[in-house]
Amino acid sequence: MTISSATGIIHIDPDRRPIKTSNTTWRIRLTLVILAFLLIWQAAVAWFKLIPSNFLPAPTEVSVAFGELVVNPNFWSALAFSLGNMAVGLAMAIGVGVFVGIALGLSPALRITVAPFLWLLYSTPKVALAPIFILALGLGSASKIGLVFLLAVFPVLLNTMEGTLTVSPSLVNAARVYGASRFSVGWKIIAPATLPFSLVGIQRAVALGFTGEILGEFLGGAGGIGHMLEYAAYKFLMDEALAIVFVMVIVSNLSLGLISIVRRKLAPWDTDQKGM
Amino acid sequence: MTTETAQRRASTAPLISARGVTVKFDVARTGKQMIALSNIDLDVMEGECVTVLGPSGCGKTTFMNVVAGLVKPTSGSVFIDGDEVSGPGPDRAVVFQDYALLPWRTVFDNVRFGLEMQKKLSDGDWRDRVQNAIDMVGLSGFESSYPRELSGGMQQRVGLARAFVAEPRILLMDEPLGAVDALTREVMRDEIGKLIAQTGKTVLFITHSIEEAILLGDRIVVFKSKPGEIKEIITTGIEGMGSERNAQNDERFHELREHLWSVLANEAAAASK
Amino acid sequence: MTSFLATGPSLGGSRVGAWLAGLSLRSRILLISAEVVVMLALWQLVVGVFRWINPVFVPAPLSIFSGLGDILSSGAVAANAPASLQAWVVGFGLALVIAIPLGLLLGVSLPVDRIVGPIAWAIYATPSVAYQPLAKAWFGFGIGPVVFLVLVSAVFPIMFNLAAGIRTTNTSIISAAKVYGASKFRLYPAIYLPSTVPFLFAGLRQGVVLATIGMMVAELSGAAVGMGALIIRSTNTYQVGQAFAAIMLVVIFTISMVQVTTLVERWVAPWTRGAGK
Repeated sequence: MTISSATGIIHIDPDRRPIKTSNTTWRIRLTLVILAFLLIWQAAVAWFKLIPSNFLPAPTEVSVAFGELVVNPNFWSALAFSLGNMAVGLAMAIGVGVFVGIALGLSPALRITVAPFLWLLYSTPKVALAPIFILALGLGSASKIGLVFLLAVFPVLLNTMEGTLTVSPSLVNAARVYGASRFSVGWKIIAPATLPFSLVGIQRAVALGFTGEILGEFLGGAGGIGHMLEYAAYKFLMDEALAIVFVMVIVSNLSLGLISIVRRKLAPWDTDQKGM
Repeated sequence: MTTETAQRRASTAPLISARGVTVKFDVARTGKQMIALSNIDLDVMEGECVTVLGPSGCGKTTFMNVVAGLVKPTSGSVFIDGDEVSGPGPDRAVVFQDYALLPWRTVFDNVRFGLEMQKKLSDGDWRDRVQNAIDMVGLSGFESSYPRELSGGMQQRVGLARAFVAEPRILLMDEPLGAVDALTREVMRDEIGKLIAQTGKTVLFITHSIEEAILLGDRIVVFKSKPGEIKEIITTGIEGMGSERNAQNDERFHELREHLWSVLANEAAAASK
Repeated sequence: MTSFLATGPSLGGSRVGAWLAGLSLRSRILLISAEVVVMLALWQLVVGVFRWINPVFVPAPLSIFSGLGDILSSGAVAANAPASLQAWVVGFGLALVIAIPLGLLLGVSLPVDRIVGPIAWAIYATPSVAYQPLAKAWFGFGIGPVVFLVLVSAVFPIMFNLAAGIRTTNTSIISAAKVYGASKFRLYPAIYLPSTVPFLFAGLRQGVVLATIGMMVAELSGAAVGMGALIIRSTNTYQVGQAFAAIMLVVIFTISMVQVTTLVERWVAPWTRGAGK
């Protein structure tokens, strides 16, 4: 239960959760549960042969494959290829998204003009355009970068626009009363208000950009970690495939975690830290 | 209120009796303990309306929550008619500052809520009782509206009807007019006063408004800002309820108002040090 | 999407902005509709008539329209749409069956929240495209991998929204329920469940959109039938007009499903009607 008072908000353990357990205890329990899960998996596959190991390899096999993967230079060049494309596509998406988003937020005329296009593109499952990108931009990096950009630009743009729109006109007026120039209104009022929104958008953009890159690699070309995964699964090397999926889980979570840290650093006043 | 009833009260045992009530909270963010209430003793007689006045954060809402049975005191106890409070009960109803209506229920179903939870819907006349309560607070015609469709003042009327229909002995009101606009506030203050006088309920009324405290309270309990102690208890001693009190004895009203104002101002000054 | 019609802050000096701000919602919608017509005409001119952009990559509106006629009359839609629909419905149904009890548990029980929560977040943070090759290896080339991807895409937003709804139940409503005699046991059906309904539907709307993306990803990368397969085949034979027409049908399907969700919400939870969502 929460009690609000002038001295702040006091959180009291609600009675349906009487036991106060520390975070470290929970972390230990979480680790134990994961270990138990891995143990059951290992037992089911390797010891009792309940599941054929070429269908679902045991954790030990996956970890061996993971070990082989990290010493394989091809893996690192594939990862570098994928991450490189993603970085270029995301950088473009962030640049264009923030710029256009702020412009749209500030100009109602512009907003009305482009609204139908944005709305159309927004409601399209843009992954469906992937084959057309491969057709238009070829099998190399360009089509992947294009896809990353296309998928990533909308959340950045729309969130930035929303953020700009939350700035109340009275705040802008207040700043102008105190003699702020147009530039400093933009820099001191609109930018900080918009920043947390843009960062939430960027967080979504990273996940969507990842989808674009991997799907692009599935559909054509011969480079990248998505292609490596597809090839492994195609040849039914399930231990390697699972190891690569594990890498993807790590990469996704690391990048999201990184942006969360950036959000907390750059916008500590923003209370909602867990937007997806 | 006549002197006769006041005498009758004085002869009976208190209905609400708080003894040494102390509440400490763990503040999650800092890990420190905060004393919300410190050793509160208070008696409320049957049929009496006691207003609790104090600056924000003085612990008055916590005190009401202890009486309601929502917060367990760290030490000390509250007794209702001699029985120790161990949780909420049908003898006490609460009117909340933020109304606390169920958004998914219509006015009628919100008012019905208490009867439903206390399994009194088997009583043949429950519909009439709900309807009477709705009529009493002036919401006839809004039975099938959702809370979202009502103004703040009207939502609080639903909260009042919900409290009255449960037929409690004690009404606990936690700044019921705190979130209502100024004009509605005055109108509703007088209506609440009339309802209290009509029904003769025992009332604990939490407020930070000096006027409300004087115009509704038979006695006024003033809380210190820190650490949640009673500063003083004043008997108003004016007849009537609501703004008619002002008309009844304008001199006493102004005297009380000036006194309370200076007490609260001193408290505020002390708190900001 | 109403933010396109919002007033927003102004740095001043915009006459058009002031004029637009003065327009009623209806006139703004009319204005936008008129604009769509103009833009479509321009698009037709640029691509279809002047050929400034290669129509193989971005087909003109009229060729998308004729592509739609082609895939409808050739039976391509009739052959592929049912497979997609089936996979979508089965996958989404499974997602509901899994997400609703799990989401309730996640919201109600602290141990489940602290143990299952982080694991689920880690899987959710990874785009479902990563699981597609596994699904293909495990479930073959039929409807299986598509169902799996729809399920994985839709299950988490529904689950997490439901859990958030329970955890953010207004504390003073809970107090009120306790004051008026609700037992701990009755708090769940009487308070927590109804107050989480709007969150559930918000999750369902997200789930619908993500399920369609999952379906497209699965069908594009190697399904034999389905709208994704149709898009791939049309693109590979340079009939991009047909591919765009197929995408358009998928868009219409997604928007309709979101609308259906909203209609169901209005019916199930009439108290949220008109609330800004």
